[in-house]
Amino acid sequence: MNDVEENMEDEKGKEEIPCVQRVSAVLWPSFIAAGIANSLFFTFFEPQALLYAGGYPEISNTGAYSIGFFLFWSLTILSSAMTSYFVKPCDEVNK
Amino acid sequence: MATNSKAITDESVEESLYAKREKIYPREVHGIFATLRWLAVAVLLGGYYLIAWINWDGRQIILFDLPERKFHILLWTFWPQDFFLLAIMLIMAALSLFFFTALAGRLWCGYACPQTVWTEVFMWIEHKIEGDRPRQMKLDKAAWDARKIRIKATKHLLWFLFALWTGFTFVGYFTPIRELTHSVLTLSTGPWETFWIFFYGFATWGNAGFMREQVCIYMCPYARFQSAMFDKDTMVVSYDEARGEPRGARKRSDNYAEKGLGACIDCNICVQVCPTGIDIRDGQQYQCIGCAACIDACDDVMDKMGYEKGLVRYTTENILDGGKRRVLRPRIFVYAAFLLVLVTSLLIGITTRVPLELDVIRDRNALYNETYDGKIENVYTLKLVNKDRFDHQFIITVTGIDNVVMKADKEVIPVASGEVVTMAVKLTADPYSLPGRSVPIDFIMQAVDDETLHTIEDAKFLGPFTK
Repeated sequence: MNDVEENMEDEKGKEEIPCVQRVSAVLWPSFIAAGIANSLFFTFFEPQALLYAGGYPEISNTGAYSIGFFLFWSLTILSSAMTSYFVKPCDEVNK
Repeated sequence: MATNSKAITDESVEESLYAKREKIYPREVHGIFATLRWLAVAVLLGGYYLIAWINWDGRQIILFDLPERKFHILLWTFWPQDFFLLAIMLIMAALSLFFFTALAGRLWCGYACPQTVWTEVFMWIEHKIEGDRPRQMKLDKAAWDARKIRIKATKHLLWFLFALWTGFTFVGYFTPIRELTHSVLTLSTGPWETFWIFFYGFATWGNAGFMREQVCIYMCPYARFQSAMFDKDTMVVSYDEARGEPRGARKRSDNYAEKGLGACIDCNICVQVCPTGIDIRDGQQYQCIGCAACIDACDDVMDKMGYEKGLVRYTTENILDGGKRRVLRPRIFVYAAFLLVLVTSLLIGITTRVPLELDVIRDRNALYNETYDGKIENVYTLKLVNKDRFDHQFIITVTGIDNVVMKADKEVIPVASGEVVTMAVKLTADPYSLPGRSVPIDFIMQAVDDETLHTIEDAKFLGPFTK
């Protein structure tokens, strides 16, 4: 009984990952990674210098940090989403 | 009775596998651990909302001044160059988490995690507006009429205001909160401040109002690996199976032992109070955040039944197996030792930190100039940074070349606390005293009023090939 149950659980577990888990597995790790990347990046590069060189002197520092964060986040979301896409078992792709 | 419990587990397995998430309506719980959690909520959230308003020496005591790139924490000011101190602090935080997990399980999750703390407040609002668990369930099942809309709207309005205040306070740690208040009151908040107030407010509203236990189950990395810090001597919330089983309903006057029953009356209240919706009687599960709501609830029931408390209690696997409590074990010492090393190095790092910085940038236009009298001249731009809390005056000297002459606009350079002064200096040297094309030199920045306050920055002096 126990074995059958466990097998069932295994198979069902693969198919049925809740939607919240899928979405948070993409958005959340990428959020953390973007936060780390953003703080490291702006530790070493001064936003004012970059903005000035880039021709956007009117953007404030807070703006630069925010824009930087969302740029990083969109990249890390892309990466997480691709990971999540590629972990699909080959059997399911064949279907 | 055994079949009954089987049915329950099967049902919950099916629910978690097929059905979409069932909303959990945790029943309100009172008791020693609920009181402790409220105490933690009061201290932590009280701290969060109040500390932003505390000023010291005309400055907010905790202010992460991003525009100025300075972090003010108590009397210290941290600059981007002090990044490693921040890294040490983060490692310290992680290690303390390991230490306390090994000692007493998921204390962090049950009492201190922002997710728990804010959820507690959101659930409290929900209880106040919608009523207790049965009322909430009834309300959610009921059709949308004026009463339901009114109740739901009130709840969401309160949630929204609380979340917005949370977001406002959060931004207040990055923009001085008094200025922020002023700009909010005059509706002149900058676009990015406005955005982050709403972003953080929205995150609070979503996580504490809706996501709740799903954050712990699906998003929290700590929840996934915390069991690695556990051993058989870790204090965890456990159900005393030996005493409780076989569970079953009975009258208060029954002698349950004679009926062949254990102490568990199978009232399911421990399941109803659980914020993550698990049954502690199924054993340790990673969904358990160690909030001990089931302990409070079960103790209450045991009291009413006239049984001994502690059917569900904080205990260790070893004790449940008939062993003894062991607090001091190698794991605890190892974590403690690491923690001690880090705390010491952090303190040394902070106290021996020289609050000065000198940046030397070579003139990019020419490698060197020759003067009319045959001397070699190099031009540098110096950036003097005074990270100290006090204003200082500095003198700059150079070593590395014999008889080098330094020319600058000023001999003594005043730099106010937290300021950066940029100045150009010209070094002139005799070509015959240069040992090579590129000579390493040192600029020394020395405070006039404090002998111990100095820093050295290396640079290169370039010249023609002379030998």
